[in-house]
Amino acid sequence: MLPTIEVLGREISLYGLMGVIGIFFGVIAAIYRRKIYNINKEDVIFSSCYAGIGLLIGAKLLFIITIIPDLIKHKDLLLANPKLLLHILSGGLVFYGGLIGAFLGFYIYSKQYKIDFLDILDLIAPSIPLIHGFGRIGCFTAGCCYGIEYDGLFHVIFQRSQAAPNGVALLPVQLISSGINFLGCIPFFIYARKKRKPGKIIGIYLIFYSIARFTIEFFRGDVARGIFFGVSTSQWISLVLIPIGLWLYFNKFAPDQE
Amino acid sequence: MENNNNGKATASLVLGIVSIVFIFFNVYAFIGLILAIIGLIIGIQAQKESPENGMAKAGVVLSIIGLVLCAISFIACAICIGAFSSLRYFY
Repeated sequence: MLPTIEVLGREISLYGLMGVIGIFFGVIAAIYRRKIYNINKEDVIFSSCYAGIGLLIGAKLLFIITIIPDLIKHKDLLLANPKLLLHILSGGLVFYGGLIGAFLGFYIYSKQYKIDFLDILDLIAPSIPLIHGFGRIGCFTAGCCYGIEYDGLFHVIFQRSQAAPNGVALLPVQLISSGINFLGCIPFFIYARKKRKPGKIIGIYLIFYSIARFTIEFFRGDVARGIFFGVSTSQWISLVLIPIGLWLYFNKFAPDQE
Repeated sequence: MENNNNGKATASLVLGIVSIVFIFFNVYAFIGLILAIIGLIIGIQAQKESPENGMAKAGVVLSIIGLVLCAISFIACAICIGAFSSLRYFY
């Protein structure tokens, strides 16, 4: 669609920009909600920085894991041209890797500065679909994470995408994913207006997103999806996250604070 | 303790400034990204140890700006998971 825009003579990726806009609104929402959990503003910002670092590292690491077979296949070409490797590595981010990395960032911060880990996760949980919704719009602008071939109502045809097949009618799965995230975050913010049992809010998010992602994956058309036993990497992670979400939701060990 | 804290604050400030410079280096912005991450962690530590330290605050702010701008710059040719399809582009 529109992979880059020009700002002061420099090409800026809309994909990265949308991600940053999403994180900005997500952190603002968390700052606004921080009084529910009695967490101060600095801790929200600093823990979000840790999470941001974890997000970048995690999203990149999972991306590298999914392309290992391709890296091995093209190793001669990549060894002959290391800059190409850098270009490829600059391109990929996988949401689930980012999510796990962000959780690890929050965990490290909460341990380092003695803040309740589940409280931070519950605080940030409604912001995650908000951030992700913006991120998926970024995917749509870059043409990545594209859908299966489809020429029905609301199909989309990319013209100058480096990722999606140009000139082919595709299902706009990025926008569907974005819509699900934006719509999902509304009842989520309403539900999270008061303090719930620790882990309950993040548990609901993990269940909601894992089911949505598992289903959406069937409508994805991009090739490098890390398929193992007919199921993609993200679907495997969804299958792992659903029981974790249920465990957090029904966390009987936490004191009832509703 | 105070000297140590000032050292961390200065390091964070310097790393934050240097990381911002790297936004002009396209793919090599990942170096700025690494510097910003280190600057941010050190800056947060210094800020937590003495909340009134203005230099630490400046270091954190500049590192955040460096991190954000380098991230945008580094993923300029952004293609989520299907990045390998971009090999066709380079062939």
